[in-house]
Amino acid sequence: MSQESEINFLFNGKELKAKHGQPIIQAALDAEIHIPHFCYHKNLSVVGQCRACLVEITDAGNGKPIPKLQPSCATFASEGMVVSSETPRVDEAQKGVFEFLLKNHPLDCPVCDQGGECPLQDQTMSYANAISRTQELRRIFPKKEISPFIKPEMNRCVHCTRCIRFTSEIDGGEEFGWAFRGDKTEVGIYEDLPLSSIVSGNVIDICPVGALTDNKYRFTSRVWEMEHTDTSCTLCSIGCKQRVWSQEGILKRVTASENSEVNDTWICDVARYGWSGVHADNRISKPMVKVDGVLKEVDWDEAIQHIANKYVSLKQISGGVSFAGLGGSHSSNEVSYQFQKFFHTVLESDQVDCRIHPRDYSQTDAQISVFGCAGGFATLSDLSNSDHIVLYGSDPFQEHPILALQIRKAHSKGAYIDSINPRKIDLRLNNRVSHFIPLIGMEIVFIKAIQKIVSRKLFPDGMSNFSKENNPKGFDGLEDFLEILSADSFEHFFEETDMEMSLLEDIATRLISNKDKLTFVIGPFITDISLNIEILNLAKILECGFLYASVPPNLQGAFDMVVSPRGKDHYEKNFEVRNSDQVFESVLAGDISSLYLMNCDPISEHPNGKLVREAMESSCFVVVHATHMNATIPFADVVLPALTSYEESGSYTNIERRTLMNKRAIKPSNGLSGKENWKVFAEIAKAMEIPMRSNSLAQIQTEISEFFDDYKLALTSSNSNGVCLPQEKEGKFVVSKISTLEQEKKDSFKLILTPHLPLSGIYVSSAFHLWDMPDACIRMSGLDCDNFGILNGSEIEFKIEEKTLKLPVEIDDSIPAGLIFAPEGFLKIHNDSFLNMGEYFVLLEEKKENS
Amino acid sequence: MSSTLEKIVTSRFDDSTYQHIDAYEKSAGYQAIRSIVDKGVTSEEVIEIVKTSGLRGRGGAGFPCGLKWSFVPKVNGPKYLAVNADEGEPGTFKDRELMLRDPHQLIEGILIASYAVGIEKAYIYIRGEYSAPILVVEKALQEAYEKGYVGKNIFGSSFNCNIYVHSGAGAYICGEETGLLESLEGKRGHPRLKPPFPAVEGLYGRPTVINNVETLCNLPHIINKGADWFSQIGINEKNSGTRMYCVSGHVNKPGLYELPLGLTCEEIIEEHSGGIIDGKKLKAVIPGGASAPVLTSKEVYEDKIKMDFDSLAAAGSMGGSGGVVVMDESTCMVQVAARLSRFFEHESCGQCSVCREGTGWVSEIISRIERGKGVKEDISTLKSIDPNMRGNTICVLSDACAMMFGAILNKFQDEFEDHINKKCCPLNSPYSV
Repeated sequence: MSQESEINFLFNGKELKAKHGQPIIQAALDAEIHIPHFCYHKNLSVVGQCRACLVEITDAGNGKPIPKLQPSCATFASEGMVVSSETPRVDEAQKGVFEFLLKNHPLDCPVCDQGGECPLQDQTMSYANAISRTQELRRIFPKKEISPFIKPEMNRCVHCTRCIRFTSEIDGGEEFGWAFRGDKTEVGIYEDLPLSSIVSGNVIDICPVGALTDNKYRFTSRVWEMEHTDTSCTLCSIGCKQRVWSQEGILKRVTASENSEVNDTWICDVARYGWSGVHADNRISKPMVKVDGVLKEVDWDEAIQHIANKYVSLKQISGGVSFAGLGGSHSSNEVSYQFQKFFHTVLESDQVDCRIHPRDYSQTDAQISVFGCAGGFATLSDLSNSDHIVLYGSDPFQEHPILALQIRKAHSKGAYIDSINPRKIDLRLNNRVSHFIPLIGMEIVFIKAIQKIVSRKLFPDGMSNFSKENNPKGFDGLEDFLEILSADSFEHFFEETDMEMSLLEDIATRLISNKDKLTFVIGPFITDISLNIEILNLAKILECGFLYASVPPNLQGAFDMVVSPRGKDHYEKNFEVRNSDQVFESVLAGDISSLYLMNCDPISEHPNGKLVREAMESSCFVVVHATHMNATIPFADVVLPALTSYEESGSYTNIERRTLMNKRAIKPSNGLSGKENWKVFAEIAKAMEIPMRSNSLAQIQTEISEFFDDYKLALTSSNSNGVCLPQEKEGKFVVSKISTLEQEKKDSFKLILTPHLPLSGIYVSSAFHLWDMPDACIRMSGLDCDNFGILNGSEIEFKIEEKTLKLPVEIDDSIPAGLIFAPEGFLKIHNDSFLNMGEYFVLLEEKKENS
Repeated sequence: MSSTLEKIVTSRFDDSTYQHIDAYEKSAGYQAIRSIVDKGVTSEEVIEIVKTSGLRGRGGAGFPCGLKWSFVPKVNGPKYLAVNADEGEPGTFKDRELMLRDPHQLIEGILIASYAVGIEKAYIYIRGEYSAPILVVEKALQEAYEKGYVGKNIFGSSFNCNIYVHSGAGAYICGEETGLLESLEGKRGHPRLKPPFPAVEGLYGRPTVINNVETLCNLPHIINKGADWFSQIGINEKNSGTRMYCVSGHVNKPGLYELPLGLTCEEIIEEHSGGIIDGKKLKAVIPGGASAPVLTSKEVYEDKIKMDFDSLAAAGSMGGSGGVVVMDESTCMVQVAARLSRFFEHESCGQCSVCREGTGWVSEIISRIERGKGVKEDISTLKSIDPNMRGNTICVLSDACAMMFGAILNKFQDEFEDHINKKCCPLNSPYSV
């Protein structure tokens, strides 16, 4: 394959290698030879505008020189080429270019945040003349505000247009552009269009001068005064590589770092500003024990002894079955491992589960039914190299912004995107994208219908041309599956929806023709296990990869660490294990008398808040181990302060089943009596006089490696991009019944709560820098708003079950009539007492209001 | 002498009825395209005829027309013709008259070019300020559509060609061929990085030919009268045919003159344009629009520089767009340089650092000298900026600015020094810069 062969060429007399279609500059940079540049960025399109990277090509590979100097960013390396960036001609041109670039630059380096990490400053020192020959007044642009996070200082701009290209190519928002011509050319955002994208902060990182500065970091420190740590972000389940900057134990800022297999060079604004949660006022600083109904601060030893005494007596009275532990999906693998080990070996209980939300156990259990294991069925690189992506119940810009960028990357390379969602999600794409909006309750019929068309096309003669020898692993049950499928009729489905059969034929044709480069992304909207199973059956007949866009950051890792009912298999126990709903029911029934909540907040995280609250109010002994004061704390008997991932090292496993090492950036800051989360369990065990080994993080990792074979590779690897742990697909086709259409209550709306990353849990909600993001609100279709005379932005009274709430409404035409959307975690901000009513689907009666 | 010279593209200029298709047809109009379509002349044969004629582009660069066409790859799918009627070069007004006075000649030229290259869609990109030519060309197109000369199955053949008029919005840079394509696509007029060249990847990413109005207007005549006839006009086979010289400035008879290639600049000024006003002395001539380096009086009268493509190039200037600006001894050359660099500063698209900052800087320095605020170092600064602005950018606007002020500075350095030493404009120029 000529595409894969390397090109050899001479650069400054040195043999270099380049890939086909690789610009000279990248080949040189890869070989650690610097060519000055501003507009060139490896992940953006090439524009060749700054002219700083000019090189002389004395032999274009055909024996002939190229007469003019060439921009090395826009010139591909070719075999036998002879290139130099050090000739007098190039030197002269570089000096000229830098003189032009500096002609209108204010040279206000002493007060510029970019100073110390400024490509203009650094490269000027290396490549330019030291003397300024300009007498003319410098260009001054009017000051403008563009976003609460980004402060523009456009007088410093060198017009590299990276920000313009980022917003048009990567993020798709197209907010940045340029106005005017010649030396009046002004880069900025279009009027009346505030920069609101959730990945907008990347323009700060890529700006090669101090023109786009970080408004939250501005003037708070200087680059050379800070320490930095490259680590992975733990605020969602993608695990982008980031650089955490701190000064004297205080976090200052977070910038993007490169992981070419996960986030390229981008991070979202939640990662960029979420660190502020570490220094939030509502951090729990000391352990607390409830005395006479009031939580009192105590020291660690007292708190641990208190828990141990209680556990010893509870264990004596009712045995291990009375203990339940929830959480782990927000903690590192090492903490999760210790958590489950403490339950299984010390408390002798199997009732430990990282899955609080029903969708979490629906996702993992469906994978186990159909494939025999959960996770490891596709990578983000597979996704960004796909020809066809199907998003089911996933709205990545809201949930996992970097996942959205990877989907857009695939699209920019020609992929077709199909989205199946109750609303028309916005991926900022205009072509090669289709939206399917099945009626609520009809999703499973929709998937079955696609299955039927796909299987008819894949197996036109039934099973006859499908020999047992070719039968891929895990295809057991295909015959029954196809038989039931062929018997089903979907006509009623099409009668009841607006959807046309031909649209389903289209999607089925796309699925089959792109079968080899097809990836499913299954999002958090899907809570129903039958629906999850049917999607996986479809993935199974197509033999395609899929990613579960799970909400908790380390659901995969905690599940792998058997913080789940699977733990009982590992420990050869035989208890009956309950899911989180059943746990709370058992607490109510008195079967469970002790709850340990590890970095989780079921009152706000579990959709059946009413049940959780009642369970908490019963006489259960509750230990809350958390970073921030959350909604569950008032019900706690003991509160233990937890460290955040910025203060504690550990490994996390993302949605690809890639294990990423998270390194501690700071020690627990002043006033926080921090104790590593993994240490706590062994200390309780010790106080209970039951030995549990845990001297160090390394020792726990060794134990994990012994316990879970595949993690050995991940935990011992030095690959800073992390190691993916694929799993063998097995399992069988599972036939589920088609559930009938839910009867909709007429004259009422259906409220759908969807995850929204800036509101995902107490940690992110406490990150005060993120409070400048646009306020969350109720979103309704323009049609409904028109019918009821609701104005955009007005506050409207909603009657939800027995309560009446006044909430801001925004018109959103991506939403079908009859549905109302609100972000999960939003309602609790507006009315704490409403939390317990948080059914996932809430029937809602609107109240007419005349404006 | 002038009355005996053969006129080609301006042959119908004297009668305003030629704006209309009836008069045009009566004077052998649409015969050229009809004959090649009827006879089934192959596209290769048409390209060969144009190659043999030696016709070179009349827009500025003087690139051989037939050769340009032959670069278009023979691929399936759409190919485009973009007609460059964005006549913005200061001192140039030939395309305006060609469109106003003989629009059907242009349409026929477009049809021939499209036939030769296998193009079914042509866009005439007309400078936005040319509101009258836009109306005339649109009217003429309507007439041609009605007759079936443009559109589907032209002359009953399988040749289809649709022609559209697109109005520019006042940017000089959209006359640069790739800037023009960007503008046609609805974007900011930013010249594109080359390669890929437009012949391979042009409008909407498809093979595209870009030809100047005057170039296309020559085509019907070449087809009708033959390549040999055309190549006989002018001084040699590489500089054949006529050129439209737009003579302006200090001459007694400014105007548009279609003359064979190879006349001297002196002949154009003295014999055709009636000589310098008031019998004054010539100081300088811009031979081919603002970008073309000036010629001095000595070069005109003593060296007798000829006004064809190759002679001008040998003299360090260029034929450019045919805009001949004549300046007499009363002209302040510093002011000329200041005014023209202001023009380039204003028209730079702003993408390349070199041009964005360079044109502005040059303009500021020269204007300052003209105002009497110059310092001695300004001359050496200007001289060192000049080479840095050449050859280092995406398009040649920066080069054009450097060629312009570089030539004026080199040939009239004493005037710059005078300004600096006397701290004012010695010629007491009445215009402020």
